[in-house]
Amino acid sequence: MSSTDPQPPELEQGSEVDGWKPVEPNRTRAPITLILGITLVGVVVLLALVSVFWTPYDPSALSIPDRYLPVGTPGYLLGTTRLGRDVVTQIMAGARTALLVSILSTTAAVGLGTVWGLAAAGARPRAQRVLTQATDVGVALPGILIALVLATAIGAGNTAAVIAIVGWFVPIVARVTIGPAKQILALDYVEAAFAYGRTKWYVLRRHVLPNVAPVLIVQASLMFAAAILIESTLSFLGVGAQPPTASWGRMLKESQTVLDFAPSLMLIPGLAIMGAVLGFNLLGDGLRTVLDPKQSANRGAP
Amino acid sequence: MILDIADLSVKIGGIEIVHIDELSIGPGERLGLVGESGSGKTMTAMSVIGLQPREAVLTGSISFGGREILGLDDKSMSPLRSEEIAVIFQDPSRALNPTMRIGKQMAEPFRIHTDLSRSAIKERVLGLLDRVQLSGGEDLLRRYPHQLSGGQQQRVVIATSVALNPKLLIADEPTTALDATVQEGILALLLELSKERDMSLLFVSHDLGVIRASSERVAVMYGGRIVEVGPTDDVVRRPYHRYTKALIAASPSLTDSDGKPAVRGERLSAIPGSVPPMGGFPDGCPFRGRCGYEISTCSDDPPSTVLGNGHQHSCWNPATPGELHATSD
Repeated sequence: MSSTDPQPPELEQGSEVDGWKPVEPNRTRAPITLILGITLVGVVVLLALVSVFWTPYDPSALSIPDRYLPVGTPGYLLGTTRLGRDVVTQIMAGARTALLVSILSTTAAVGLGTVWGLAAAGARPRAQRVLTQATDVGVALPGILIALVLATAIGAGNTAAVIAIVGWFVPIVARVTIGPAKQILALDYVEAAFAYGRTKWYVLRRHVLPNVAPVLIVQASLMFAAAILIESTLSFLGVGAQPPTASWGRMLKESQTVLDFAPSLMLIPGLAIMGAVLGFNLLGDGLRTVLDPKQSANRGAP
Repeated sequence: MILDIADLSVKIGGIEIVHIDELSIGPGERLGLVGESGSGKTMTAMSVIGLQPREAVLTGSISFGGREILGLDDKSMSPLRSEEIAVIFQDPSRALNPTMRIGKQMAEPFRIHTDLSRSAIKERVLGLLDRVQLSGGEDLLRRYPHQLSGGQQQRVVIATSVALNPKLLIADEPTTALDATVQEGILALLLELSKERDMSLLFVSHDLGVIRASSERVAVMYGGRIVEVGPTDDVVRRPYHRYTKALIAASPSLTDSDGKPAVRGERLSAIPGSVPPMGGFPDGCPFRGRCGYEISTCSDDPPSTVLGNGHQHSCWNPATPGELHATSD
C-alpha cells in the first residue's frame, strides 16, 4: 500500500470501446506525525541493532567503585547505575530486550489472533457465536494480573513476558479481525467463489486475508507500542527480564530508592520508554491514515 | 424450456416471501423480472441458483434443462453454477476482489472448471476482454479493480460470467450502480451476448425502461407474486393489472417502441403508500390497499386470466386498454 490516490479513470461514453489509461499518482505528503514516528522508531531500532555487536561496556559487567557517577562523566556519558553499570550501555541493551519481546509477542499474537478471527468469521453460526464470545471474554481478562500469575507459575523472565503479552493480545487481534472479515465474506466475489466451488479455507486465505491486512498492519503497529510498555511494566514489577538482562523497566524500578540524589537514573529509562512507545504509536496512527480503508475503498470508483 | 419454475414458495421464518405458480424461460429467451424493492424479484432470481439466504425455506420445483435443481446442496450445485447458470450483480465493485489482479480473477472459472493450460487460459481471457470491448489487453490483466471505472469493472464481471458459455445468465440490476451513459453500453453488450450465444437472460430490474430495452418478455412482481406476465411490448402498451399500470405511469424513462414517451402530457404519478414490510401484505391481491380500484372480491386470491399471446394477469378489476392513461387517484 502506498500513499498514492489515483485519479478516477476517464468516463466511458455510451457503448464506445473503453480504453484503459494509466492513472497519474497524486502523491499526498506523509503526515508529520508519521515522520516523527519513523524517526523515533528508527533510533530505537538502531540502538538495539548496534547493541547486538557493540556496546560501550559489557552490559552485565559490574564496577562497584564507579557507581552513581553523574551524567556527563568522561567515559560514562549518561552516568552509571547503583552497581556501576554504564547507563548508555543499559539503555542500548534495554532497547534490544524491549524490541525482542515486542517483536516476538506481537508477531505471535497477530498470527494466532488472525487465524482465530478468520476462523470465527468463517465458522457456522453456532461456532461463530462461541468463538466471538470467547474473544470478548479474552479481551475482558485483566492482562497484568494474568501475567503475574503466569510469571509465578513458569518463573519470571522474558519468556513469561512474551507468553503473557501473546495471551493478552490474541483475543484483541481476533476481535478486530472478525468484523471486517465478516463484511468481506458478505461481498459478491466471496459468494461467487463459494458458488463455483472454492473451499472456505481458500476463500479466507485468498480473498479475506488480503483485504483485512490493512487493519491488521495498523493493529500490529499499535500493539507493538503497547508491548513495549507492557514489557517495561512487567520488568518494573519484577516478573519480566531478570538480571543481568538489561531492561528499561527494571532500570526504573532500581532507580526508585535513589530518586533523591540520582534522578537521571529514573529520567533516562523513562524517556527511552516514552520515546519508543510514542514512536510506535505515531507510526501506527500514520499508517492508519495512509492505509485508511475508506480512502482505499473510494479509490478510482467513479 | 431451459428454466421452469412451478409452484415455488420461499419462506423465511414461516412467512411466505415469494410464491410463483409458474414461470419459465425458453432457450435464448430474455425475460425481465420487474417490481419495486421488496417485491421478491431478487429473492426469486437467487433461489434459481441456490443463493437465497440460508434461513430461507424453498418448496415447489425449479427445473433447469429438465433437471430438478431445487434443494441441491452446494456441492452438486457447484458445477451447475458458472458452467450452466451465471449471475451478475448490481455493484461490480463488490463482485471483484480489490486485492487481486483482473487477469487472475478472470481466469478463475477456467482454472476451476476446465483443464486448460495457463497459456490457453490467458488466450481465452484476452478473447473475452476483446468480446466485451475492453481494450488494453495484457496491460489490463495486470491492473487492480480500483484502476478501472465502474462500467469497465462491470464489463470485466460480464466477461467472467459468460466465460464458460452458460445457458442462462441471471443479471440482478446489472446497470443500477452505473452512470446513465454507461448503462446503455452494458445493456447493449448483454443483449448481443445473449443473441450470439443463444444464452437465456433473466434480467432483474426495478426499471421498466431497462427491461423494455433488454427483454422480450416481462414478468411484473408485487408482494412476491407475479401479477402480470407477457410479451414486453404487450404488457407496456396494454397493461391489465392495476399495479403494472401504476408502475408504467410512474416510469419517466419508459418509451414506446416508436421512441416516444409511453406516458405523455401528464404528470408522472406516484404509487400511493409504500411496499409493506415482509409478511405485511394483505390476503387476496397483494396490491389491495395501495390500489385505487379495489372491489369486494379483491380480498380473495385473484385468478389468473389468460389473454392469449402468452399475456396473463391476475387482477380482479383489470384496466381495459381504453383507460390506459387514466390516473389512479
